[in-house]
Amino acid sequence: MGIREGEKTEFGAIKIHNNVLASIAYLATQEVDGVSRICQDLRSRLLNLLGKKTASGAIDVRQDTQDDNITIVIPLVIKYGYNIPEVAARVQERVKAAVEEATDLTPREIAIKIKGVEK
Amino acid sequence: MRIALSVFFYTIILAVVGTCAIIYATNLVDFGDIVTWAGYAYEDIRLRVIIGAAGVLLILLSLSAAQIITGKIQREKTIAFSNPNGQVTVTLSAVEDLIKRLSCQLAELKEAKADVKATKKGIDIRMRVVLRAETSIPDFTARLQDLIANRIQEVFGIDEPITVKIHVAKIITSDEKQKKTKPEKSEREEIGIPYQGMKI
Repeated sequence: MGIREGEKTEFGAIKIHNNVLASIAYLATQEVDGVSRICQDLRSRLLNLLGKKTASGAIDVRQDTQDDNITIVIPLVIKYGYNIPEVAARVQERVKAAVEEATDLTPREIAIKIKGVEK
Repeated sequence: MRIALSVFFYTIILAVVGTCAIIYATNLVDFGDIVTWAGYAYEDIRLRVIIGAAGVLLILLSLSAAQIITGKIQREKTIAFSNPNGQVTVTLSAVEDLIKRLSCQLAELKEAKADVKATKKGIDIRMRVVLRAETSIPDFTARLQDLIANRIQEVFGIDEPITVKIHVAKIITSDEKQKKTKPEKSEREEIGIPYQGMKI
């Protein structure tokens, strides 16, 4: 994960780390009704064990080196009884809005991966 | 690239283990030399630290490699559709989860296992079920097929045809159920509570 070069102010440059985008996406996703949990990977589990405070699960923020576009990949487990395309669309909208609101950046794509269904 | 590296990692490890086995079997290296080297390494603290660190590194690398490989396997088995904001992929294990949860709601079913495959023709579901004896199999299986196909189409928003094949593996009678529950009761009776019934 790299650091995103942001706008420059009179005091200096503002850089946003991809982890920040992942954390915003994580928190925004949790707010959506129908999301049971966000999947964790080995890296995020290890970071949690080491005491990393802001969780981002296995959310992957990819940055295109050529055109600087962002793709956010969110692995999810959906609550049983909810319509999956509807929940996925709501997550995409919510994450897009949260990232735009917090960073003024517009993600090109928010890919959702449904990994499971649970109560 | 990452998968190729993971496969390369496992290949190297297995090749090293294989070579060691061949060397041991063919007596290419004297066993006494190995013992001497091991003793030398054991006495040197620095060397022990290096060997320990290498061990931890190898474990972490193997876990990471395993995750990459299994992650790729999971990634391949998905159903995908696109939304205006990006792609949504549903793993087939999520479909299996849903089928399991649906099956739990039906009283006639004792056990159910589902295997989901996505083909060009549509989604192919194979179920292995254990039913209760009082169940009418043709009626129940037809109802189960309808329920699963409709629910998956509704929940995942899939337009492709869904075929549900059911294999009734076993039928459990009420006697079998009683047999399974009886020993538990007798075990409970055997366990005596000390000073039971004593009045102070």
